Amino acid sequence: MSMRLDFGFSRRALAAATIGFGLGIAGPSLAADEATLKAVMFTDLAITDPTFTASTITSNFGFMVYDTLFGIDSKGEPKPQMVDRYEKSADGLTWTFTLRDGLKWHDGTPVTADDAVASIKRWAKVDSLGKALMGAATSFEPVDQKTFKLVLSKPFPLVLDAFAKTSAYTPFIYQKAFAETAPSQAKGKVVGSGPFIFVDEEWRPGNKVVFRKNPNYVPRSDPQDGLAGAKVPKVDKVEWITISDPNTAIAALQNGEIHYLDNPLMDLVPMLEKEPDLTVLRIDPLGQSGMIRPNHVQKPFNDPKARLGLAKLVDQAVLGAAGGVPQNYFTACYSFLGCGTPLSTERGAEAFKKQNVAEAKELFASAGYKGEKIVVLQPTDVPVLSNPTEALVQALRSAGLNVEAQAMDWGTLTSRRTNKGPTEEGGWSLFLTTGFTSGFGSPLTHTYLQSSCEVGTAAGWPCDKELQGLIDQFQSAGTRDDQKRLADKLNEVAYKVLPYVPYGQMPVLAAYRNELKGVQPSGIGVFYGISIAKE
Amino acid sequence: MSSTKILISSDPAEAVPSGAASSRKRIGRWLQRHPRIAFGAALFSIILVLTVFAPVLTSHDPLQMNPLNRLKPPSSEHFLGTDALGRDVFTRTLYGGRASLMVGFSVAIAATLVGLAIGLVSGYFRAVDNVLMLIMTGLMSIPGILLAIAMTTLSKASLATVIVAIVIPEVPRTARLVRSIVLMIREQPYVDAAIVTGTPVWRILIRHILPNTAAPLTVQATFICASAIIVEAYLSFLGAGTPPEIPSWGNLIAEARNYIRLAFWILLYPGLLLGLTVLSVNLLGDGLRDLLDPRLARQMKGRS
Amino acid sequence: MLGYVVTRTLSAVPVMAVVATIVFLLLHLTPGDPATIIAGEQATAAEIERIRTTLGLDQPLLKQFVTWLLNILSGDLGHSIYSGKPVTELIVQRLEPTVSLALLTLSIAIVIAVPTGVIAAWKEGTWVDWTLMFLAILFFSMPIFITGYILIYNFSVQWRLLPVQGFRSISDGIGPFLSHMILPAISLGMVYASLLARMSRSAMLEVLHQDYIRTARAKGLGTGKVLFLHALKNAAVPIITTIGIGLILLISGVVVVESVFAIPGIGRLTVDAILRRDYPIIQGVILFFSFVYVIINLLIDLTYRLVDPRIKY
Repeated sequence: MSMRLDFGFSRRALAAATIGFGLGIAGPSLAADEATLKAVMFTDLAITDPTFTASTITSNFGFMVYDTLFGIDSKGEPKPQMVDRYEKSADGLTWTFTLRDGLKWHDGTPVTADDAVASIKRWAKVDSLGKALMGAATSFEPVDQKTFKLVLSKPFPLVLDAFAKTSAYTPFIYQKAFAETAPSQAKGKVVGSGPFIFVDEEWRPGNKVVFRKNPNYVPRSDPQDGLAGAKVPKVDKVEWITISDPNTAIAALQNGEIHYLDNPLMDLVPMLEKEPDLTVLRIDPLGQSGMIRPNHVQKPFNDPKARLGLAKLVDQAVLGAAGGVPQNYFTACYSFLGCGTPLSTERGAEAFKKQNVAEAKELFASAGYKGEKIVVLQPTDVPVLSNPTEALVQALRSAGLNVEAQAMDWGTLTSRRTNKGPTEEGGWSLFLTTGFTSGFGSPLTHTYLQSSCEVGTAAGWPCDKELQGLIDQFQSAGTRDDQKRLADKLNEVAYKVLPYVPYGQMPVLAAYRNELKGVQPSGIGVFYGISIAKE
Repeated sequence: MSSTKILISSDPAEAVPSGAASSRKRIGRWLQRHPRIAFGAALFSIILVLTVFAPVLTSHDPLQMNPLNRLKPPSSEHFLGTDALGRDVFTRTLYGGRASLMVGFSVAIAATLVGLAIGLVSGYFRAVDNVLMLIMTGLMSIPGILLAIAMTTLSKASLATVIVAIVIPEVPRTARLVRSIVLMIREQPYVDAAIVTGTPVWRILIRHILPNTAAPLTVQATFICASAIIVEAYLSFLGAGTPPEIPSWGNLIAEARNYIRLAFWILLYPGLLLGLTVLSVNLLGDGLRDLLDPRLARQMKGRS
Repeated sequence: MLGYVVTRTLSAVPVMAVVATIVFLLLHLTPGDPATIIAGEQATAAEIERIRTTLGLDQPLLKQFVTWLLNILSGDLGHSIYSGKPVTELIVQRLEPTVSLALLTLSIAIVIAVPTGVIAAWKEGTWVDWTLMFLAILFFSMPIFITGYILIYNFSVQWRLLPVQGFRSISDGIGPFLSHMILPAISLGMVYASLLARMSRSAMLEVLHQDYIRTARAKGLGTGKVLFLHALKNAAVPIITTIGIGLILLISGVVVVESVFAIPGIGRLTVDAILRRDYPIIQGVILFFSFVYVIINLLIDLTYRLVDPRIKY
């Protein structure tokens, strides 16, 4: 090696030579007529029904093959997507939507208002915002082939936000027959109307997911902007390749074996930023927020004092560092409505900005904690959660708590956390997760804030009338000032109820090779509008 | 049976304290003639001392995290640097040996005892022999790691589960070995005589058969120990082993693999110590085998 | 002859039956409830009950076992809990990388091990023998992932000479195929080669100590000829047996190596299934590998008989 270097080869040129040798793609030797974009997503796709699971990868999948009625643009505003135009009655109670022309399913049949209505109803059974919307609705029915009507009993300011919801569950539009099967049973064929077609025959679970360009897709005429505007598939094929080892994934990107890497290992981001052939992009400007979710229906965290104790043990900087987030990317954040969002506020958070083990001990004692086992779910396959979980476990133990960390993968965790029972019966006490900060901007779209005491609240099941009351008031809070006042109050109450304990804000990143053109910060990795430049 | 005695004196723990200079010389000469045993024992003793006396050798707590001080390269404060949660790699590597060696020893003992029992029954009682051996053959046809994975996955993760999961695939070979010895010894005239004179079965087993299995079983147990240490590491590495909170070598390596680009040392040192441990045990086993029973040596060559 | 083939083949049947029973009991002695897992997060108690009935989990154990056996016999290993794809299909999809890896590993191991064993036996008792056998035991003791990561760190991360990731089919060309496969095959091959080298050495020693070899050497036949033509031929049977038995080591190793090198083979399928607790896949893969092992060893036994009629059973 060093000898060859003396002969004037650069190390990079050598590497390039070997890479060309090691590759079947992207080289000029393989001047394929077909452009295939190879991406590594943050996890493997396990389930293809976005209403069956709230896992984000399935939402990503949805944005490839399905379409939505509305889409959030880069400013966070909902804009029509499948919908061509809509009318709102003067009292804001009657909404009429008309689908745009040219919408076709991948099997060639036209998309109808029937499909849209059935899909939204299916989604509303599982999604908290959907439930709220349908709770306010007196009727939601198709009018004709392309028109459907929503009639509300009381004003609901977030109708469009609901239809444009980006995070899981996302209200994708399915064929009516599919939409009428219960989510847990629909494992059938995927027929979407989106810009890409899922190739089931080439799906290798745990290895790759293959999409083909939808040649019949009719994009909107307005330019692509976030998830709104034209969705133009510009490559013939998209392959999601599963590489579970983050180093291998990064090496594959550096070597040009893949074009796009979703969610690179945070530790390696500074290194990637130095690579001239790569771009590191914040795909969501607001990033994601860390949440420590206690179980509100079981001991010890059914007692608010125990939750306060938990919050006293949290040192956001430590958890962030444990997750490998580079310091310049991490923001300690004490706002339940996110930081950098319009309603951001830290009211009521002063007492929680410093870790205080002694106070935490007292709080747990006054909550009547007597050494009951605290079961912490640890997703070992997600480093950005797993390591902070371990750091939190240490903090809990330092306060003399009896903690059992149970290791599992994220998929198992999402099914374990639905168990409401005591820890002896497979229940749990707390877990860590993150959510898109953009969804925190409004209390109504913030799933983990909901404390409605209903079955439908997200795992953890917080229940507090006062907090929920404040959240519900946002449905009718008019001016920004009203909203701000309400937000202050809400943050104060939330820091008493603690539906979850915030542990800071981190970016959502993607890294891609510079031959990709047209990558946008859409909030979620989408592959339309991206082309591969020929070298 | 003289071989068993030699075995005992080869135990480093017993060999060293005998104070007399002449006997020390004798042992020295003996070790010179058996370099594998000498080297293996020496290496193993060092590793054993390092892990057993870990609390004396390091002032750090293996579980103490300091995320703000993570992935630091080796320094005077942290001999081998720190891992992804700012824990001391040197300390964790030493403590990690405890879990791994514990699994190694426990599996060796348990698999030997269970295999011995099955082998004795199978070799002595013809009625159950066929069935037992068929089950053993079936078990041997299942790749050991997969069987162990299935067992640890299906039950709750704990050190005990891991031990049981490694023991079961190791049993058949021991059982077969014991059985073949029993079959051989049964044919001996003195055993025949004992049977004819109406000596109870248990007495024949204990008095005549058991002692003959001691030497080959010791060798076998050594190899099982080595293999168990590796298998534990594989299981933990694959996420189906010792609970991640316990710093076993397999867990350390599993945690370290995300950081090979940034901090290769956190993977390298536990890995090397793991390799050296297995090497020392294998060397011991190899040496003992040739020493104790050349015929056995031939039979067992090629055993994993 | 034919009689032997039939008896030997039939003797594999009860072994497979035992394997199937063990694998079945594994799943059914567990505390977890597959129906709950399959039903997913949103399922109601009624739905879970319906799935339990559909899957036959409410039937008596013995009946379930019989149904399961019949399914296996017809090639049905059940369906993945998550993707809903048939386990048989998932295994077939992953066959190519695993078989490629196994064959390449096997070739490398044989190419390294047999000459090593022969030379060590020839130089018995010398420093050559000693060194080779020490290396054999050293590599045998090195856990596969340590060898693997050291190779990755040097060849792929530091020197960027080889890709670290995945798999290219041999149909993409021999170059890409080998550049992806060489490091995993070496990491796995070292262990296997060590085992084979030791076996080859002792098999060779046994032959070399026999009279006809001594005669051949006395007659002045060249060393190479004696070693590789006469001696090795006679040592072949125990060596081939070791290759067969060592396959179990290879199979276990594949699971680890595919995980280290992100190769989308059956081993990787297994590990993913473990992490998700996708029981039908775990069960199916164990059954598959065990059957492959039994069948290959059966074939090896039968081959001897054909190749070397002197062998008596």
